[in-house]
Amino acid sequence: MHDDLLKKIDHDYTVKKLEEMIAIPSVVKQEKELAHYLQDELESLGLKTELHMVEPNRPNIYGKLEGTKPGKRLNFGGHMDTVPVVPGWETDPFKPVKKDGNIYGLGANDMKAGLACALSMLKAFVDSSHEFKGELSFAGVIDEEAYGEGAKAMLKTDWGKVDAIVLGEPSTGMKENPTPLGITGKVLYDIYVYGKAAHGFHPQAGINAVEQAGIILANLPKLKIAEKEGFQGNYSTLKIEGGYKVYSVVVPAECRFEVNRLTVPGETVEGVIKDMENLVESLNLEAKVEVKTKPPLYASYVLDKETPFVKLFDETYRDVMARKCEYEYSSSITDANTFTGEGGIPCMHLGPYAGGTHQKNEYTKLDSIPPVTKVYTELAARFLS
Amino acid sequence: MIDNILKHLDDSYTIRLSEEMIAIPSITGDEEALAHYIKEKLESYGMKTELQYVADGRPNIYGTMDWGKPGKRLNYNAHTDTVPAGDDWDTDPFKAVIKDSKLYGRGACDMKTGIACSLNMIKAVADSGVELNGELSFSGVVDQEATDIGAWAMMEVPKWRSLDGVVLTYSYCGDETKPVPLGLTGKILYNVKVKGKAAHGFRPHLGVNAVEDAAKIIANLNKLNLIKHPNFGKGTICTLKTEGGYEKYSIVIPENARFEVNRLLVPGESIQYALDDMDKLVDSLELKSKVDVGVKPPKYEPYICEKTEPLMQTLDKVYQTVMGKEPLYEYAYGITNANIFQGEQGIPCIHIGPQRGGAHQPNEHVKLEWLPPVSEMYARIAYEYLTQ
Repeated sequence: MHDDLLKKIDHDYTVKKLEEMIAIPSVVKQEKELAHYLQDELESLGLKTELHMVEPNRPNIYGKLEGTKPGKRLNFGGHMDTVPVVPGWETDPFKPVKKDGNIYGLGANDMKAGLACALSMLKAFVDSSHEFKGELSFAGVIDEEAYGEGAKAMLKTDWGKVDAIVLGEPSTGMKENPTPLGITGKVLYDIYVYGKAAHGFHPQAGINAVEQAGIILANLPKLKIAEKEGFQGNYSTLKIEGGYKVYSVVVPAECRFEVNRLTVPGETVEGVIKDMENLVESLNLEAKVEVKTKPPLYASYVLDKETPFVKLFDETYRDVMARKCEYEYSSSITDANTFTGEGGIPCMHLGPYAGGTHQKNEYTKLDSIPPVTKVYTELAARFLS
Repeated sequence: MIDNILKHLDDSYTIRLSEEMIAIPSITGDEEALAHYIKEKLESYGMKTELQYVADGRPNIYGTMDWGKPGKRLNYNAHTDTVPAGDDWDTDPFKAVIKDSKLYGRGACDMKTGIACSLNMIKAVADSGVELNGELSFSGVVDQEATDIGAWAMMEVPKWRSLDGVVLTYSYCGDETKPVPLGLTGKILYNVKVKGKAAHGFRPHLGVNAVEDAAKIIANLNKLNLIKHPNFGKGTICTLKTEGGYEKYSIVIPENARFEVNRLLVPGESIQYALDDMDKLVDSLELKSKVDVGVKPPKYEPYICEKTEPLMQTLDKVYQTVMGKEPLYEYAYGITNANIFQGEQGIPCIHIGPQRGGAHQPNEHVKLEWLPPVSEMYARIAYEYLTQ
């Protein structure tokens, strides 16, 4: 254990940063103000920073500390955006409120608490002048709650060419909220069925796009969902629309439907598109069918427990927390689908203990924050030694 | 006696009235001005008239005439509304234009010339001084191009419910373009609501997908038990619309889905039969969703008007006299107000009118050559039927 470093952690600073960040609304698409706040904070700690405009007015923020010798590159951080406010909050979601050992506010756990722990870890490195090799960086990205465009953009820059990433997502490594070693991917099929209009009294003169779509939907169980131990691939139809806008007795010439598919490691985006195309073809429909996809697309991934970074994470967690880290294969998409699924960078999730994620009265347990900062700090020290 | 009536038919009058009526737009919902125009005409022939307001600003127009003699009561029926003009007309749709012996304008064949031929006939009867038995009447109803609230309201009135026969002055001209119907299919619009159970879209096993269950029904519609009628054959099934799932993108198992299916019914298939048939199909699929099989208006019963029916026999005879050939007949896949008059109320119905051109399309027209024989047939039918 790197006690010199751990002793320098300022746990009050962590909570203060969390409070300040809760007070800066950053509902998805409105991440800019928080990005500027983080840039100021990183610069005051002495990091070199860069704002990366991913979309107009929607920047990612990056910052780094460079070690005294060349070495590996480790990144901490996560997404800056939160989901929108849902009804039913008992407090102002944009005002941090401490009560009964919890801190309440929108983003309190998803994932401003994780960001605060990362800032606090960086401050400990700066304050202790701890020597390390390589590079220790921070990233705050946009759009995780929507299309994941922030992570996708980061992966294309040098900031994304790191050796490992820790995301401050609210996975505690405890039984009720294990840390993912793999996550399913996701494809949103967008299927267009083109038939032929005719008077609805004489359907044989046309091709009914709605009925042809119905045949495809009724045959979705024939999709070849791959098996992967621990994962559950599946599909669900999310929407359908077809037929008249203003009542008229006409054979519908068009119908469109969307099917969400979770993919398991081993299934590629191209593969699952082909799977749907094969299914459609096997039905010998009269209508013309176009199998398209809509964003967001996410690749699945699975990390081997023997991966050096995973092993190091596991050991550090056990040493700091004095308990075993629990793992799972998850079906909740995160930016790790981009970093690991697409980029091949090992990515571990760890954040403070939380409740009310994506719901009203979101909170983080205050006493779960310091241990997470400690794991971050010890993990960085070990990985970059 | 009939010659006396025929002598008073005036084909230039038919054309003039057609032109005047085309110049009075009467798109569904906006029939009032035309009703007043017709009322004035009917009164000028000595008919007693009545406006029945079916909805705000939407009157049916009725006129009756009798000679104090007992007998049958025959009504000439038309709808006063037209479909909207639409685009791509070569002429102003609301200004009648005669070109190459055709009269162009919205409503030319559907069905203002049918009305004009009726009015020409009624005027000729009135002017002739010929006294008929029973009662000769006219009805112009609203909303036929939509949900027929006009015809339904007409059948609420005891006087009209008890008619002996109706001549629908639609463009069924008895040739291969539109044979005379010996019956019409009925129609039901199923409105099927499927209720499943919402869940996160990543965990479909925790929910019940209403869209997928709806699709299973749609994919099995071919199992509906369509009864084969010796004359009509089988009815038809056509899904018209479906909707289900998120309004704003979210990964949620859809809890609700809905679809509409049009079904043409043949005699032997009642509306109730059709509902039961869909219920049975749904039951057989053993879906997890709750399914509510409902109907949306409009719905119509099928009917058959036998060739032995006196009014149909009258038409057959008159057609041969005027056209020099037998009319073509068919059991038609279509819906008119006869589904309400005969299908619901049992009043014998015949359809006869000028041949249609471009109905519901741009450049709707009628060939002028059709107007004199149709007026004559209307006069002969009235005379034959009301002197028997």
